Parts: sequence; structure tokens; C-alpha cells
Amino acid sequence: MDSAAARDRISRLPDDLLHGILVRLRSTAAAARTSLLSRRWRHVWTQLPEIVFDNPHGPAADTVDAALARIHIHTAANNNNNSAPPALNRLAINFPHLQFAPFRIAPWLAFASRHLAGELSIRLARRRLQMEDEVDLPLMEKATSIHISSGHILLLPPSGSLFAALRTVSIAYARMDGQDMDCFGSSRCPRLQELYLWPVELVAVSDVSIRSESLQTLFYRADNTRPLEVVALKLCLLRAQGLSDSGRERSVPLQG
Amino acid sequence: MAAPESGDGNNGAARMVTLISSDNTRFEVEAAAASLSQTLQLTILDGGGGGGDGIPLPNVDSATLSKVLEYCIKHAPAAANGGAPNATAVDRAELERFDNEFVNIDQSVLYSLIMAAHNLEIEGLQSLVAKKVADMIKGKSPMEIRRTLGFPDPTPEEQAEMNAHMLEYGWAYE
Repeated sequence: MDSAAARDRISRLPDDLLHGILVRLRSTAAAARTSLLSRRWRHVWTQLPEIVFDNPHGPAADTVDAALARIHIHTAANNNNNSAPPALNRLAINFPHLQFAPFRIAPWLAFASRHLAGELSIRLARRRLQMEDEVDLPLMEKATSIHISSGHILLLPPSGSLFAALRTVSIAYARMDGQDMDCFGSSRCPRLQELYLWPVELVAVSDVSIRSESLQTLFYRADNTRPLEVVALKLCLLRAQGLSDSGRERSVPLQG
Repeated sequence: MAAPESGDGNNGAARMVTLISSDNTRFEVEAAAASLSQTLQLTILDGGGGGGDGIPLPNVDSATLSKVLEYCIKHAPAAANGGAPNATAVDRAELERFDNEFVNIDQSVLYSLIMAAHNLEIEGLQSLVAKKVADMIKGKSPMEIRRTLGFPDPTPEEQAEMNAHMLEYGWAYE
């Protein structure tokens, strides 16, 4: 066997290379297990550029909460040391066969709002709707894409907030407020290029209007829409389906 | 196709460059292969590395460098095709077979390769080696990982610390 100095060479790699290894585990829980290896490894996993949860076994929501709490603590500690942690590029929470109450999801979205500069992906089982099933989507100024699939009533943040970096949004199976749809317009999402609402359901029959100077692709399938008005200068691909009888889409794909 | 003045090897003999390892061994390779390294590519585009000059690599020893170049030479043709859109399934299978064999090496070499791939900015090699180490960790308990990665046996102190952390990190084991 080699000498002690030659062993355990991996621990002497700089943090960013260890991150490159751990991120390929594609599982935040598995990465967190390396914190037990030695003191050197204690907090390495908390600074990974991607956070991924998709193991449906065990208490899924508790696992997510415990991990995010740890990451939050260490990120805050690092900020105090003025050593900027690497950016969080991706937060993925995928439990497509599990249902979660809104109070379980809210802290995950709050975490994304605070830390994420990249892609958010939350895929959960559809839930039989209850009146109190409202989930507030907080503002995520640095998010570049948001993918949400769940059966909740998804409320978008109030006007005045700006999703400055957002380029892609896909929402499936959620219920939404028709009035909220103007959130996807240029005044709130100035860089939005792709919007997939396929399928969603409006909580009440309502007119929907989306006015965007950046939107290129729109897939729209929302029950209870009447009518759908799309004003998008750069739109090249529009697919709309499931509009109520009087709800023909009136799209104005002007050539810009 | 218009040939750039520096010549990209489409006029007969391929352009060669010389790389010099930290222990002063000289390696002569095709510029196309060395250019898989983002760092070297800049120097080579500037016309460096030719003739008797050579590009010194003070952070890479000869054993590691020869391994790195083995990778670059094998991957250069595919990289030259811009990710090889016209590569056949056979070509790709052959590269995959090569990659699997390539990382089937002693751990100390693996870590030297990680460092070298990082310093030289060879993206494909970085991800290949990182994935290999990740696969060694995957699905193992901390004790198994320690053994796999050649950690010395924990002192009683370390063991106690690990046990305490194990309680704290119970959620990671579900």
C-alpha cells in the first residue's frame, strides 16, 4: 500500500474541482453524505452550483428542508466572510409521484428567490384541489428559467416586480388567475422568449392578454380563457388550445 | 474552404507544436490535438509552440502530460468536426470505449489528471475524470467512500466526530 502522504489525495484538490465531482452525483442528498468523510469535506457539498432532489423514498420534503437549511446557513456564513460562494445555477425538486401541501413548497420557492441565478424546476404530483391550495410564486430576479408542474393554484407576484433575467417559463397542471397572465408581458418579464402554459386552468372565466416584445414561442392551453389576446412582435410559434367557445385567440404576430 | 495563413493542416503535413512538462520532457504533438486545451489554443493561435521554442507547462509532469495527450490525440478528430455531427455510431462507440478504458487507472493518476485538465481547460477530459470519481462515490456509505478513496482509517476521535455528524445528517440517508 502507498504511504500515508500518497493516500487520500482527493482531499487536497481545490474546492471547485471537488464541486465538479460532487455535482455529477446528480443528488444533493448523496453529495451531503460526503460531509461525513472528514473535516475537509464538511461543507464542500453546500456550495455546489446545482441542487437536485428526486429520490421519492423516505421523507422527501423533510430531506429537502434539512438540506436547504444547511446550505442557507453556510452560504450566509460565507457571505459574511466576503468570499462570494459560487452561483447556484440550478434548483431541481422532482417528485412527480408525491403530493405536497402549499406550506411545504413555499420555503423552497423562498430559497430559490433568495439564492437562485439560473434554472428552477419543480415537478410534483397533481393534487386534488382544495380551496386553500394557493402557492405564491415569489419574485426571482436572477432566475433564467422556471418550470413548475403541480396541481396548486399558482399566484404570481404583484405588479412592480421584475423577472429581469427570465427567458423560459413552463407551467403545467396549475390553476392560475387570468389577471395574473399579464405578468408574462414585457413590463414584468422583459427577456421572456418561451412561454408554455400547457395545460393550466384559470380559476375563473376571464380575458387574458399577454403583451411582449421579446416572446418568440407561446404554447397556451388554459381552460376558461375568453378571449386570449397576444401581442408579441417577435412571436414565431403560437399554439393555443382549449379556449372556451367565445374564446378565439386574437394574436398579433407583427413582424418586428 | 479558405485556408487561414497559419495553416490548419489541410496543406499536407499537420502543424506540430512542442509542449514541455514540469520535469523538462518535450512532447511533440499536432496543434489540433493540443488545441483541445483552451489555454494552449490561445498560445497556438498566436503562433507559439512551434520550432525549437516549445510551450512550458510548469504544473504538469511528464507522466500526466503523456496521459493528457493520449486523450487529446484520440479526441482531436471528433473535436475538429465541431462535435462530430457526421460521426458514425461506430466512431462514437469507439470513443466511448476509449474513454472507459482511459479512466481505468490508478487514483493518484486520476487526481493528477483532474488538476491538469482543469489547468489546461480541457472540458471533455475534466468531465470524464470528474464523472469517474463521482461513479466511485455513488451509492456508497461514508465509510465505504473513505475506503474507496484511500482515506486512512479514522482515529477514535474522528470516528466519534463522524458518529455525531451521522446523527445530524440522518436526512441524507433516506
